[in-house]
Amino acid sequence: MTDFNEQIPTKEVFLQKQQENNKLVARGEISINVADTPSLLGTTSDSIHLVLFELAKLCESLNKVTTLAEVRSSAKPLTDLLSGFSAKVNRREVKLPYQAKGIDQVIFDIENRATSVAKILTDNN
Amino acid sequence: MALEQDIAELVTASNNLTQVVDDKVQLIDSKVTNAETKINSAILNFANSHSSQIISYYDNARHSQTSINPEIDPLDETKTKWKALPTTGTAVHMYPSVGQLTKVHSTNCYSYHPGHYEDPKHSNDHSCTYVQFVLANDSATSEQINTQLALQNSNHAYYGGWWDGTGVFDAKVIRVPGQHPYSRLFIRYINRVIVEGKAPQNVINFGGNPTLSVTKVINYPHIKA
Repeated sequence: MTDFNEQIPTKEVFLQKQQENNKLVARGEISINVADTPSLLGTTSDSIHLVLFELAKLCESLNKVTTLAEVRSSAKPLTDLLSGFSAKVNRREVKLPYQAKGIDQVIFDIENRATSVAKILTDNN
Repeated sequence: MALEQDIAELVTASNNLTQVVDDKVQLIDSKVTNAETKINSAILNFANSHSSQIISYYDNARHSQTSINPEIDPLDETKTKWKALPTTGTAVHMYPSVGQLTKVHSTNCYSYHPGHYEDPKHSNDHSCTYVQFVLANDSATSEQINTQLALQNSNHAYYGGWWDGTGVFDAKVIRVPGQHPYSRLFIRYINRVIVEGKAPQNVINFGGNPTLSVTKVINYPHIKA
């Protein structure tokens, strides 16, 4: 064995270290078993483009409607496009990471990180 | 007359002495030149041997014994089978020289003994799980690696510590005859007893869940291990 200068931590510090380690190991498992960061970024980008373009089409169509029937027909293309996806999520065939993390934590991260980044950008101007 | 003779003898003696000094200076000059040549050649050899490296690059992903999920060695429950270190890296394959110095560069090689926190201490778990490294043919099985290691019959160091930081560790190199020579890093886990005199324990169930991140492996083909 190697001559590490070992100093055994308190149980509290050890458990905290393990938690940090678990997060890094989870990231390792994602990169090894799921996809590397550029591929994950590609899928994120696809999701955003899909939502953006379909939302734009929906708004454009809704903007012209005068009757409830026209509202329904405006919503139909996007409903058809995504019905298979939402059915799979409802049946738990497809699982979404934000649901696994817990919605409170996800919203907290969105708010906190968005505000922190915005603050740095504002302060630097 | 006696004085003239004395002077003549003195001159002769002085000439002789000058000759001796001249000879010695020449001898010293030639020894210094020889030594310079030897030192320059040694420096060159040293530089060459250290700069001649076969490197494979890993992705620094954090692994644990649980995420690697190795099988237990059917012949020895204190060890796991050898398993290729998974990586997203694309520069992993190498042709290492067997028997030459090989170093694994890691940013984390963390082992601990969970029994430390038991009350009484180490009453159930008295083990610590460490990791061992070997470079082997891409398609080598754990059994083939063990066969080749047994032929080398040399001490195989194990690594890990209750210490989070970077480290450089030794790896063995083996080659399985007849297999494609593409080689990569394999690891296995091994339990050591923390409390002297106690029996070795099963590597999966005892000794903790060590973690490891590897950035690169370097084989020095001109330096003997």
